[in-house]
Amino acid sequence: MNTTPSKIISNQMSLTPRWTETVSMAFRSIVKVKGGLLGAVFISIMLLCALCAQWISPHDPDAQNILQRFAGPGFAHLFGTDYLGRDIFSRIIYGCRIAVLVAFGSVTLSSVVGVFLGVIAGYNEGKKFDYFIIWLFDIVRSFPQIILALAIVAVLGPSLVNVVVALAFTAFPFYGRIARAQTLSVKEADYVKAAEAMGQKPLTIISKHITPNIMAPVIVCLGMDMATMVIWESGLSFLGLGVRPPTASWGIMLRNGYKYIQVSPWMILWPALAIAFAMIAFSLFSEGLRVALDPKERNR
Amino acid sequence: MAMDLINIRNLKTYFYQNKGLLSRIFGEGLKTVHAVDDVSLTIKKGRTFGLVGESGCGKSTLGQTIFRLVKAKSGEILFCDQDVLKMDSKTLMEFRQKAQLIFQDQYGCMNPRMTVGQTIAEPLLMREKGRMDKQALFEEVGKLLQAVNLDPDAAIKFPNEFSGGQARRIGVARAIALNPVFIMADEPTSGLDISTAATILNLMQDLQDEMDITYLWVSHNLNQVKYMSDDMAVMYLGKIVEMGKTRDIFNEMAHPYTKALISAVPQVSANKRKETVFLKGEIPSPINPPSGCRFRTRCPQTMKKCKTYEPSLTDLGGGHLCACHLHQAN
Amino acid sequence: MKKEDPLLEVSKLTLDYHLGARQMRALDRISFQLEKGEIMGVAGESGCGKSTLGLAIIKLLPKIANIRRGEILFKGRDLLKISENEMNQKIRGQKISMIFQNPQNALNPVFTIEKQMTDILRVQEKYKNREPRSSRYFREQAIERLKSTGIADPQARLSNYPFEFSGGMKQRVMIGMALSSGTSLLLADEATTALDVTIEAQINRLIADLAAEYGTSVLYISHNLGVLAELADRIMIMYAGRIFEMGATADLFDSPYHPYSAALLESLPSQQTRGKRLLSIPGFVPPLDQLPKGCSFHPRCPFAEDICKKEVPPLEQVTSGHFSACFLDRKRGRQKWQWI
Repeated sequence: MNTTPSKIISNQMSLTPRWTETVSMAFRSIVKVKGGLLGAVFISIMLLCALCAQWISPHDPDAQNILQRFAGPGFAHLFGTDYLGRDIFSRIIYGCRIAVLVAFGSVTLSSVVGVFLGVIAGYNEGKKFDYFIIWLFDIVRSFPQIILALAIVAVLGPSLVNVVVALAFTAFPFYGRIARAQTLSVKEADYVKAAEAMGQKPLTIISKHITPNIMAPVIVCLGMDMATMVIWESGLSFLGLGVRPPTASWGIMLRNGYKYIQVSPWMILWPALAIAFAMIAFSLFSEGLRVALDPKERNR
Repeated sequence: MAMDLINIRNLKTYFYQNKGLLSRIFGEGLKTVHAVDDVSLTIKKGRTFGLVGESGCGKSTLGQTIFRLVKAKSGEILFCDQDVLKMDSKTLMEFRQKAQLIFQDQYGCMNPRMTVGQTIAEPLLMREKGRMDKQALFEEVGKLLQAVNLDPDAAIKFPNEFSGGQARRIGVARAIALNPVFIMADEPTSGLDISTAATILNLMQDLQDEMDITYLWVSHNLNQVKYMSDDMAVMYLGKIVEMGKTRDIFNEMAHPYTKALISAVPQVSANKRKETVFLKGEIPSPINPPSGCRFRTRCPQTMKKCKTYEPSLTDLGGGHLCACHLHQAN
Repeated sequence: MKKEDPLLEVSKLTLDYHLGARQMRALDRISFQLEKGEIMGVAGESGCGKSTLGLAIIKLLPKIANIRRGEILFKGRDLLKISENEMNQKIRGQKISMIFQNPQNALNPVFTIEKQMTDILRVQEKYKNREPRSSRYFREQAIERLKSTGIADPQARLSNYPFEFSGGMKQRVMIGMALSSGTSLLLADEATTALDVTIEAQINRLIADLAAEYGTSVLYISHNLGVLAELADRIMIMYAGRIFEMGATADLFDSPYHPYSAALLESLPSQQTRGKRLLSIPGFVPPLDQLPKGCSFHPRCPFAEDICKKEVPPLEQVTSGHFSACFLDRKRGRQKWQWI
């Protein structure tokens, strides 16, 4: 090595730790787990479909063609057509966009809010603020999640943003609970005490020392929740409370298809398969994350 | 005569169990753990004060109370004539920069997600309120690592890549980053091998000579306290039973507990060995400490009045204090 | 059995750990004998293989361990050739017992002490003779064992759960289970490291007393030289999988032959007065898969000569009953090592 030690340090050392390092480390190691790699590939396919829907899909998803209703899978229409003669393949791909948006949007929103409140509550354990937050979490959690989401969408009106908000609202207490429980154990760690004894400010302690060290279980939860969110979005759309028709959403496609299940089973088969695909993708990915973040599992 | 740096007066730290309403009504009621009970001591500037006792005697709690990591119930902790317990948050932060801790668990005291460089840079950045030239910071970190005999390259590694002794030295580097006047070392060699422990002890002595640091040396290892400290106190169940110059205590130990403790320490050379005084039973629970003298349940020389009267610390001459009825007139 | 036969005779025991692609020699040609009723202290820094030696004798090694060669003769039989079944039924827990550093891990927190003690006694009884005994017999046995370890009021204590016992008392329970009249060999691996000094003194006295009472030999593994000095008849100093020095306790501690033993003693705070610097051996213990050629201590040894870098010094008798593995001390004779 020719470079001086101080140069090596200055080139490679970042001044402040970022919790994003946790995330990036997890994603780097996840590909080493078999299932996680498969999940990551599946999710990449979904992301690709969502981002490049207009280029991938062979037809306009909303273009109706009365003459070609209920067409089976074939060269002209890969997955066939629905009761209005729309190309199912294109609609699946556009539906992917909705699914990905809702899954990522609601999970991000709920985890950010949940972790933020949970960490602050945990750090102030036993104080009034902590009790208030727990109380808030418990109230939200006492409603069945899907009913609560339905109620919120019904009040706000069905739209993509409202679906994301509603789903996020039902899920944030779970993140809050995890974050709070983790904080309670992490804040007893000696390095938190060391920072306190050094005279470090509470906010810095929370952001630098506590949050990065509680993220592992939260990240695992993120993956599993995304799968759930895909299902719920479909459920809400199926009930007519999700995104507005004619926007292509897997839930809406299911809702349209089940009426014609005897005429054309394709209409319900493809969206169902798409949902299953998304579920498997997110589940495999989260399982991979769990293994990747668990140092005990990594060496096996 | 050295100046007083820390003056602790009648310090009490209690913990409470069964705090909840339900357990208070239906359970056994509020339980008070007398972790530190009416302790007074003086730590002189530039010296090492050894605090010994068995686990659960409150020595670590006493140390943590000084840093206000644990809330004190009552008493005074005077640091340069300022009461630590009454400091507002700003003065407290200033105090905490002058006083530092070295933890028992050398890995646990470092954030596992931060590199060693970040760990050591943290107090420096804090002092400069985040405004510090990057290059100056790197140099400072490198200097600190060299001061504890580590390679500056260590800065880019994570704590778990180091051996126990190296990790301990990183902890020392962080503690001395802000030129503290006072360091509390809580079992600084626990879990280390003999020769590694010797390295740490040498290092800490060198730092004391160079930087004029005052140590509060909390340990259960009497051999080490004898070697390191100028003054010492022996704690039992939250109370100090004997205190004075280390030399005096080892030469003419007065309290039966000190005698038992010192005699129980295994010695390699046969001529230093003393007839071991075996104590009966185990240390009682600090929730319901025995009445009178707290040591009486295990004491080989217990008397009638030990049960009813609590002995107070009395001077045996030359600042050698002992709390035992055997050494009290009347 | 002839009178002169040692209870345990380990000869040229060599053992590797395989961790992925790394092959680590944890024990290298370990040979020693343990007489009946003798307490042998095993000392060394962490990673020197002293715990592995204990586990190898009772055959509780992790799966990655691989015994290359050597034999462990226990009462004239090679333990390495005994089947796992026979080991379980006749040897382990009956002829040879082991106690560990953390007694709390050895006790199941959800069962009472009585349940756990009688369960083990029942299994041992089953192996000995097939006759079923009443549960009262086992209860009395358990009380007897607790009493022998000095636990006050054993009848009442039996119904307690492990959490109601302190660390020292749990270790007493473990000793009570490990040591009985049938035990010929006790392996104690850092048995008192987690305990306070006054409790440690009690427990060590207990081990010594019980061993003397039952005529049990003890292999006492510890990093605490002071404890070994007070307890053991003979001491074995290990470094990086090899025995460096072995001899009678007083002899070895008063005038060590090997420079490493001398250095260990010099670095103890109890051997120095206030203000004087302690000896810190330069360098660090090498990882077991990167052992230097020749004597594994030579990179840290200021006295090392050319021969130390090339050849492995064999463990040889220097005076009667005192063994040392160093080329230099043969040349130097009984001169003290001047580390400082």
